[in-house]
Amino acid sequence: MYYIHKLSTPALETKLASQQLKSFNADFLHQEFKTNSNTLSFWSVNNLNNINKSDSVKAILLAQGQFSSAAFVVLDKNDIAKNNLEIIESIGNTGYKGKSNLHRDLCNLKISTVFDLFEIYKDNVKKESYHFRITKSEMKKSILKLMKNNEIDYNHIQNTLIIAIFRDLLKTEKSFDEKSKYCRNLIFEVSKCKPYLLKELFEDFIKNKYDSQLFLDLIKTAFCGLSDDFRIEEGLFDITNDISQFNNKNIIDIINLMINLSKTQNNSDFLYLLEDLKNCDFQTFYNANLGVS
Amino acid sequence: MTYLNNQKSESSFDVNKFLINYNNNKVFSKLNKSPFEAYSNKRMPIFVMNDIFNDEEKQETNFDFNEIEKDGEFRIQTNQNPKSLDISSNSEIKVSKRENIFDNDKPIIKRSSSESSSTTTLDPKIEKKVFEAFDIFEKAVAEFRFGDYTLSSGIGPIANSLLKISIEFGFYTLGYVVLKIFIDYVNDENILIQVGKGLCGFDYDDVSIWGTSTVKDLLHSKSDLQKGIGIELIDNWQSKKLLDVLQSIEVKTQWVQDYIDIVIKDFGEPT
Repeated sequence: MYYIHKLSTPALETKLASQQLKSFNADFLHQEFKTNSNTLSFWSVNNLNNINKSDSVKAILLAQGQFSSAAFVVLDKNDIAKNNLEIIESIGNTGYKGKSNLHRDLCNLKISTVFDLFEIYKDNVKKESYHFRITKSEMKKSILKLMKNNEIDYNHIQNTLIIAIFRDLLKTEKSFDEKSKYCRNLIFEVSKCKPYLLKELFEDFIKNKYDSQLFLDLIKTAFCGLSDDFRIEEGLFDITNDISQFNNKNIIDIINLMINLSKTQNNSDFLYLLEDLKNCDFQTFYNANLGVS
Repeated sequence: MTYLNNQKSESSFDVNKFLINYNNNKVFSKLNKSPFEAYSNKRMPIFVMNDIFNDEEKQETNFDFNEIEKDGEFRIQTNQNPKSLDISSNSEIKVSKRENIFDNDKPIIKRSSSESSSTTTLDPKIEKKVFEAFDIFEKAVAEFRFGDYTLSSGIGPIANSLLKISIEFGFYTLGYVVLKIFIDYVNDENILIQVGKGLCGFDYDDVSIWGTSTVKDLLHSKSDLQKGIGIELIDNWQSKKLLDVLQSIEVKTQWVQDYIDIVIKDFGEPT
């Protein structure tokens, strides 16, 4: 059995390899080796083959809050036993479906055991198969693949990572249909699991990547994902009446109307339009814009 | 003052035909490649054109124009007679009297007295937004100092605040906030490191206008730790244009040099 730990910064890998422990600044523990309740987070893996593509690494990636390059160090169970370190099973907070049981906590850490751990790390970053790096683009690819295979649990993925994934999807050089498909998939899942996040996603979308056709697709998808009796208290979908009273045609008409209006406005006006939208129910909005009293 | 704008400007500027010598070693042969396609559907002032021709002013605004890489036409809008600009003779400029039409939420740099003035101030509306955004950051700093969070997974409160600012105020305002952070927190390494980590989550396309100078600030710091974060930013932003910056820094510590070597090696490998 092996245990993978993601270093807080990729630079730590080279620092551990070339610097004496005694020369580390005191802030190091706070800045780069922060423990939480005297524990450090690890993920277990059975063997070292293709370790950078293992389920544990995917679970780690889906526990992150943003896309960024990362460095990992691997401990084996002998390292743990030899230094009397205590490792226990615990549920990991990852968005990788069904893999949270791979998480382990190195617990009851003392200052002295942290130093022992450093020494193990220093040895292991010099061994070929006991450390590896994942670049930001590799992380993106890996998560996109998990998304494609429907292996992401959106209830347990961090909100900031969802925003990062959404931003990345909008930038991919895929065809419109493919881009729309991925984005709709994400929006649908978010509207089911974390509807409160829709406001931020759409706000970001409008501010940075406005595309009316894609926006239309995504709004429609968001409506589909929201359950009939669900009321969102704030944000874009601040609907005072139950959404179920609107049939699809209403909604599509409203959106079309909104899009048409937006074409005559600049982006800021479109934003204001959406701001207005959140302050009234959709029926009122619809009637008002069609001149119906 | 001159702005570039990719929409709704009546002034147009065929930049396909001239060369600009910039910063001694940079020559942009085709400026019709807009650096701002990432913001393609935004109306925003891009930068002060004078900066292209005047290194002193360029430093004053602290923007960097290295990222001119994507195809797409863009236009220039000016309230200064473009003919007075020192542009090479084969450029084509159509002059318009149209006034600025910029969004209120986009930063506008105004010269305090004249074009040649050495001081720049922000439009008050924009300044207000920058301060509002900075408030979000400062609350996150308080949380960082006193709160309980983990660094190994997720992102800390400071990185989170930068993301929030980018959503609420846009990347341009975020740039001003980051510049302010680097002034106000110049001696607070812990905060700068957290800011650097937060910036790693953004794509270079989004932050290129001010991102390069941020990286330079970190790389030229005396602290190895800040240098490390600067390298980490380049590692994450994966723009080959930042390689020059990386290769030009002076390094005395072995681990920093090793890290640079790893990042440079990664640049060379297909992803």
